[in-house]
Amino acid sequence: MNRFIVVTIILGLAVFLTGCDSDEKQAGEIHQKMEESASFEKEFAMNQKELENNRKKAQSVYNNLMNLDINDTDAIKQKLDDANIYIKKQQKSLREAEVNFQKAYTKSASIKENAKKIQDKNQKKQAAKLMKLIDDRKKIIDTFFDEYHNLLKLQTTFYEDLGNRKYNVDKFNQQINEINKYGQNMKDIIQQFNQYTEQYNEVENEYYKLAELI
Amino acid sequence: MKRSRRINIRGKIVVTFLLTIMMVLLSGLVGSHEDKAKGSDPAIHTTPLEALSFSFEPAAFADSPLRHSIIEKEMQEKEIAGHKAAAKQNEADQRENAIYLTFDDGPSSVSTQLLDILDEYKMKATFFMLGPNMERYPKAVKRMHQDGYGLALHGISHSAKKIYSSPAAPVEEMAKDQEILENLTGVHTKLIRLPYGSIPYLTEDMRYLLDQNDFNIWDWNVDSRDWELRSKRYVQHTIYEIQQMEHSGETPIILLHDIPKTVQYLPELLSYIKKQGYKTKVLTNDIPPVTFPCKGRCHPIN
Repeated sequence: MNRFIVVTIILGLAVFLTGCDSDEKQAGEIHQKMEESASFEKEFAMNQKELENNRKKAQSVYNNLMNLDINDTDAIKQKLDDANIYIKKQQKSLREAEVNFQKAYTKSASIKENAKKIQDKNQKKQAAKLMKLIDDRKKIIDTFFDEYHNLLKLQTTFYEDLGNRKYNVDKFNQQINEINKYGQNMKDIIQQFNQYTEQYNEVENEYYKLAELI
Repeated sequence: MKRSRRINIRGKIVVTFLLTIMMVLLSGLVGSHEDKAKGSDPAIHTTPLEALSFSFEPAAFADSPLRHSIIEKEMQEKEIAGHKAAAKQNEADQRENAIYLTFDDGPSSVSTQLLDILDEYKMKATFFMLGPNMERYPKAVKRMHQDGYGLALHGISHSAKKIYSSPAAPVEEMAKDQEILENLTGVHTKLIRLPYGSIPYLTEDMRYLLDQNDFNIWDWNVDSRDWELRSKRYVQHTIYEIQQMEHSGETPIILLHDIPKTVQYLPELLSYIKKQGYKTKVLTNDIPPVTFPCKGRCHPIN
């Protein structure tokens, strides 16, 4: 009987200790994946800065264009050419941003496998929170990409109509109103996205603390 | 004497085995902790994700110089096309020796009398009517329709401050007026005349919106000044103006009002018109309208 108790205690201790070891191993892997993901996120943030930069330049071209007279054909042509250049630059940055975010997401979403193996309840809960935020950010940024593509498409049509001298004031008004709606919507989306990012950073840190990595 | 219990060989093997496993596990754990301790100098590095900046300035179009210039260009092109069509119409009217009588501000308490006089002289006219007056004198409106007079719109308020208060205000008043006339007679007319004429308060924007809503803006080329003279003198003045039009080869479009003083001296004017052999015609939706061009003279009332 005494022998049985000794064996059980030893085995229990061993199981407990191996459990601790497994959680730490998962935490280490999660950290590595998250860091790899963060490097893609950096690229993504760079793309966003390029987008912001070209969007501002495009806005300036638009404002100059609006101050012209429709009979200033040469100046209008020049502005339309400039506007198209900035639209194309934004389209390029947008595509790159999509690729980089997708890479970041794929990497960060792969922590799901590790999270399944975590045995500590608190760590598991925190990892689940992190995964939810990973998905939330992905979902909302996909909407942002869609809206941005639509906005650029609409701007292209607007400038094409002007260039082809298809002057229709009501249609132009409608197009500009829609462009403004897209822009406002995108602004709101980024605000929400930033909130998720802030939570993401907090939850990630909290998880590392629980896993005693920091 | 108590006998001490000793572990047999099998027991010793089991205990040794278990102790070995335990040692291995513990050493493994300690080892891994040491590794971590070495690697975690001082703890791990984490890269926080940065917030994105997004600025968006709403694009303005409605009040832009570009929009205004587009409207101006469109209106100019329309005006040129309108001039050509009007010239063609004028040629046809000249061949017929046509003249257009138009009466604003009605119907009124003297409309029946006015219609009787026109009937007596077998002459036709076009009435630019105010919505509230049509509701007040529906019988007169119905008679105009039945007797084949031209039915047209003059708005609701007849107040310059109201009808020219915003780019959309003229359209709104004319649309209401149009509905009243349609409800009374079933006639859908596009013909409108702005109170006090389209110069100076009917801006390019207002003209554009009226055009977009399919309204034809009619002014005149002979102002009888009946509203101002309020006596027989308006007849002499109008005759003089008609003669001027005849010399310039233009078909007279005469502005008159549906008011007692005009009706009182109307037979004298109609006698002259009849004597000259003019054929009175009504304005229709198909006739290209005669509208005063802006030419830099249009401006908002405020």
